[in-house]
Amino acid sequence: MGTRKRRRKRRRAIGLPIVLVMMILMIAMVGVIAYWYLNGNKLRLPGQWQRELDFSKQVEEQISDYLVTATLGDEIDVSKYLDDVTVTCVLSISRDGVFEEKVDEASYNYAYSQAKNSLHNAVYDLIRLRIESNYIETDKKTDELITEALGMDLDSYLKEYGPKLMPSYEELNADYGMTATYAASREGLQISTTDDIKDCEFAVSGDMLVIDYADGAIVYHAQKQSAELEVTDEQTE
Amino acid sequence: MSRLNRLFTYILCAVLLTNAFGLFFPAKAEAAQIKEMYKVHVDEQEFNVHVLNFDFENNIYISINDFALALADTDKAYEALWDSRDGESILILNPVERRQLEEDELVASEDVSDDGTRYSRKRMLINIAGNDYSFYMITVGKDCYVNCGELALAMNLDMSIKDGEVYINSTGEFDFNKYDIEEAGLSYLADSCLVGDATTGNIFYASNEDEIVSIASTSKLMTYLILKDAMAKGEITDRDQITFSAKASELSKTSDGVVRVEEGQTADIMDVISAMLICSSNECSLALAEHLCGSEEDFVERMNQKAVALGLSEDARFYNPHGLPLYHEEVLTVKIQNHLSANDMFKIASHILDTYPEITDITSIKKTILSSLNNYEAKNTNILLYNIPGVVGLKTGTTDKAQSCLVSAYETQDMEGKTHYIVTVVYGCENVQTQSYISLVLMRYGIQKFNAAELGITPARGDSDEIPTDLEGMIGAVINAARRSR
Repeated sequence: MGTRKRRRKRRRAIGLPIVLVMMILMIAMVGVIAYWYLNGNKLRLPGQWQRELDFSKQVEEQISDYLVTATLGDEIDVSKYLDDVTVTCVLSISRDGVFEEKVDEASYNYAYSQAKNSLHNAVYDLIRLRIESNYIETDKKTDELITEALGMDLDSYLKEYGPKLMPSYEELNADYGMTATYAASREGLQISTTDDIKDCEFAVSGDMLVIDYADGAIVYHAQKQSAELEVTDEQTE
Repeated sequence: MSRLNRLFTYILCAVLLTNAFGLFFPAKAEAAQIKEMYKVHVDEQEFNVHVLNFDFENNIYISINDFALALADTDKAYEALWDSRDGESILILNPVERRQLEEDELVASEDVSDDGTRYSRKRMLINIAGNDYSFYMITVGKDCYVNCGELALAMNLDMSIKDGEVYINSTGEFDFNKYDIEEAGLSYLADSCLVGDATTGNIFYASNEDEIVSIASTSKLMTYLILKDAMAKGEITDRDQITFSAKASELSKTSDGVVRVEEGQTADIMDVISAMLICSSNECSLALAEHLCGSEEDFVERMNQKAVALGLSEDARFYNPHGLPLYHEEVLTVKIQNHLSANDMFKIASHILDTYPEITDITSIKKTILSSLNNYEAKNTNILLYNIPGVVGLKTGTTDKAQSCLVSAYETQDMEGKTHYIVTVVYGCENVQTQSYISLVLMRYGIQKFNAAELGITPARGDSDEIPTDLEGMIGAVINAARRSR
């Protein structure tokens, strides 16, 4: 056999396996891509998610309704006293099927204190307005007059006799908290509590999770220790 | 000039002069305006009602006819009828069965703007659910306008006014707490005022109660007390005959005189006491003082001694038995009047009602004929006698300095059937209307407080000396603290 024929035979022997390997790799890649495309949602689901409950409007209405029971109460613009009153709910979805949501206590305490401050300031200004409208000149500060008249400071009085500005932490947890198990599939999400099974659709896009319940969709955002980190760990396994 | 021409000239001058007089001294017509219609919310329904804001905005007089429609479908439904009693017109609000209004009755009445018409306010009789009241009312054609607050009190309506609209809860009752009184500034309409249980000494509400004020004819309560003490000791009796002195006769013929008497004229002591208390006869007070002590000065001495004995203020002082102003017997003379505090008068009234409760037999009389005093018809000037059933006295008073004053008493019983007297003392009001209005509000408040304390009847909105649980009450308490700190 001549040298050219031997070289051709050698090239054929080396090229075929390479092509075969490349074909296998391509099929594998397509498979992985297809797998990711079809199961990405399910894979990105586990993690810590959160949503905000905005009580600002409710608190504003409660304060307004309380103030208008007094003369000149409707002259107080409650909106200018109002801070952002939002409470965070944290949703924890674990790989082993636990689906748990609860109200973040620290955010609740902060929101509640904001609401109380708004009420205190609005009522305080109403008292000042009423004293001025009666043309009463006094050397005593308003706080002193309040304590003298009521035997307690304004905060204590409002805590005892003032309006309920927002639900308590326990009430919120009862309404928004949940401990359940879940099963995720391409078709959707099934959330099971002791009394109920809910089937819903869900989608994960970037750092946003949308769970579409029968009575409406809830949007969550990833927390700091996000699902992305979980996914990275899975990939390295 | 012929006689006829002269006569014509005289008549013309007289007419011109009269008109000129009228220009410079116009007859004082009280002003009133028909304002825009007020919305009245009765429970869930809304009505338009004619109102008159008399002289001032928010001094609301409401149309009785329009108000009848507004209340037609409630348990306070009534029909308004005019009647006559003893030659005097009386408006009767007869309770009727509630009914649903027809569609056309719910249509708003025509709006009426101020057309410059001037109306007069006049005290007239009104009968509400069987009780007689004497209110200032304004008649406009066949309709009549009554003060909103007085109507609410008389009909026991849970009524409030906000942003020019009236709100009525037909199943509620008229009630208020002391913060309402303070916040409404009612106590500022009087120089001093007080309401309390004279039997227990419990004061329900007081404003400037220790301030020394001129007390005008309410002095006659002390005069009565001195006389009754004297009767108790046997110094005089209730069958005595009073002889009017020259001084008393002279007084009766002045502008301060009430019952005209002649020197040497005699009358039964009880008729003279009745004239003193019912129609505030100054000459009768003087005559009684002279009858007991021989002179006015000695009687006044007894009055001041009694003031000390009762523990009245150090500055409490009497100068005469009737309360009229007088001048010091000095070169540098000043006008002086009997003076003490509302608290002092409460003590006097309490003592009288405790020791001589029969005073109410006289002071509760609205009208009577005093046969031994030339058949004088004595009419009681105490408005509360007409406006709160159960009021039994006691005495009005008016001088330029003291202004309009009233001491009233309301008789009631506690759970054990023991008689209590709720007493109001009001001094220094600018006129009779204000004096009677404050007295009415305070008396209703006192009755409400008594009922809560003694009979366990809790007012709808709750009033106590404890911490107010509503915002309005709380602010009222702070305002009171501010006022006290001035």
